[in-house]
Amino acid sequence: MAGGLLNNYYDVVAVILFCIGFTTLFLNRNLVKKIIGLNIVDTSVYLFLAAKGYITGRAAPVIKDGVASAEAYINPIPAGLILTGIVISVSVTAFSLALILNLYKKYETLDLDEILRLAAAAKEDE
Amino acid sequence: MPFVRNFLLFSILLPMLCGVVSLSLKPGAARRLTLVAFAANIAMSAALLAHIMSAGEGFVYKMGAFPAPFGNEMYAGTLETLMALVFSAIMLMSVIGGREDVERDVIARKQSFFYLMSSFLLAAMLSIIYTNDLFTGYVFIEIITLTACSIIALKEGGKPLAATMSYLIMSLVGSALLLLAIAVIYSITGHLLVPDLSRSIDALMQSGDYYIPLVVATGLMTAGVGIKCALFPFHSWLPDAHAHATTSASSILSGLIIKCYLLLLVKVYARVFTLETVASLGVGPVLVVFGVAGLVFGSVTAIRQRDVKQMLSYSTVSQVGYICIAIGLGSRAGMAAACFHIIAHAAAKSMLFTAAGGLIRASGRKKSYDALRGAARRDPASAAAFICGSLAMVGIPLFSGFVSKLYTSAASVGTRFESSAILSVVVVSTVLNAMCYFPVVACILAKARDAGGEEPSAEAVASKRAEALETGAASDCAEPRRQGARAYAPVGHKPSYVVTLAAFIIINLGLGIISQPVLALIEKGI
Repeated sequence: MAGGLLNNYYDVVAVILFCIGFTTLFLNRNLVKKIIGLNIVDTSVYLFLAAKGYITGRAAPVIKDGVASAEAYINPIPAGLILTGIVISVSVTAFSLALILNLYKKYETLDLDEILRLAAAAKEDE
Repeated sequence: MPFVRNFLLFSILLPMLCGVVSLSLKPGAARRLTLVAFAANIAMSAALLAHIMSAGEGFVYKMGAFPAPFGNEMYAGTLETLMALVFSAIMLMSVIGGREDVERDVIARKQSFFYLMSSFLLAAMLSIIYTNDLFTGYVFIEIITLTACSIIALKEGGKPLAATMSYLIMSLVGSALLLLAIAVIYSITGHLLVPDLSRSIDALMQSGDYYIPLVVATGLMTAGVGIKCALFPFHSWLPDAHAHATTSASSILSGLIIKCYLLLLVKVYARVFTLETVASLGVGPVLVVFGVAGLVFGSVTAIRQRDVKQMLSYSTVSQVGYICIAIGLGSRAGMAAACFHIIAHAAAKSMLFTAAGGLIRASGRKKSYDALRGAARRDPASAAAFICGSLAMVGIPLFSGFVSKLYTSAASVGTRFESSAILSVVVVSTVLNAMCYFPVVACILAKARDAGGEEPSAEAVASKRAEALETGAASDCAEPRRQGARAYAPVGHKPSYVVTLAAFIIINLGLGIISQPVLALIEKGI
């Protein structure tokens, strides 16, 4: 068991990072910290995928010195997934930050519970 | 390859293209372009459905004709094309039906954005319906997250913004779980395409390797979808998000968007894991338990609401629970019943939100039951649609809700669950639904308090308030009463609005009366 954990230390670190980020995203009341938590979560999944795609002793999948055999290179698909994931994570982060900025202008706080309380207490704007 | 098969790709690309173009147009032109694109989508989906029915089986569409391990695949069977047809039609009707509210709720400069968002939502939902690749599914789920959040935030005011934020956070939590689930599944199977995944998961189950990671991945995926479609106890974001959006957005969010996540769950269970594997992984009972809890909690909270849009939103929570019960039964019949209820609830709930929008407009833009008193006299068309929707949600025979209740009960026979338990849940939900909807129907049918149309005298108002206080009613009752006493003039409608409501009613009745062909298509497709 312990040996397995030691061998797969990338996975262990990825899971620990995921838990840290997930707890922050889920439980922290500060909106900016929530978004930081989201980025940690995404990064941990990328680490997990990258570790799964790596094969010891092989090179990055860019053809070098005319070696075309697949045996010489690592699995390129996780890298492709990570690139797509990074694009998604950037756009989600940008959108969230824009939303947070608007909320801060309106309520002058970054505390989500406080914002929800203020919004619920506000007079019906219909 | 017959040319008609390309409609699959066109029906995704067309709304995307039209969304981008509509951003550079004036709101009126953007609306017309969007409506034309949605109508074209309906025609293309119908042509595709006709093609598949005549061919007798579905087909795999390879993007750019690259073969499987390199290219991206989409699969169109009867289930997918039927859903695409229904989703395009309801999208079109929701956008037409909420037009006046969009013009009022969204400032003129941003109205083109509304049409951009609705086009993108349709494109992303169709992609999730058709895709055969889990990671593509994840990408489009994130696109839906962003566009659905922006479509809520388009409405002016602090409440929509705050609701958007809590929706966004919960959606991101769900996405994170889904992404991890997909990563785990990829790491143990090495595949992302559904047919390959299905084969290697079958092999894993037979050899017994990686059993625990498989259970974990299934759990993560179910939890992720559960959060994103507001399954109890992750429903806290839904009522605010759906109730504070503009009318069209509410009907799209409540009717379609949560359904496309549930549809993805059905597809993953039926195609990737196969139903036998899902049964042995033990997800079914969990879904049924949370479904029952959500159904009861959602309905009971809906009964206590005094705001029509909040009531409709809590009712969505209970209906999601209902669909999850049908999925959790774990049989093919259960999946078919879930898919039928996805269609039935999409049609009924979008109609209810559209009609509620009309009634609210006729009641001085107030959403409380008191303000809606007598709305049927001011706006008979919307009231007729609202009553039809209520009957469909309660499950009166001849309406769509009855058929899905019938099939869910029938599907529970022969599963590991007691049919009598499922049957009693269905009965309880019918009673609770009636208790949610009939007070509103009674309110809109009732006579308005001041038949003469004059402002009541100050004494009358004062005595009414005193009476309200005396009878022990809470002070929040007094204010709506005063407002409810004002007379609102009958409203006129654009012909397009009345036609849309008529089409909604026809769809709901049609689903209830000729349910057999629809169900046959669903069962064939699963």
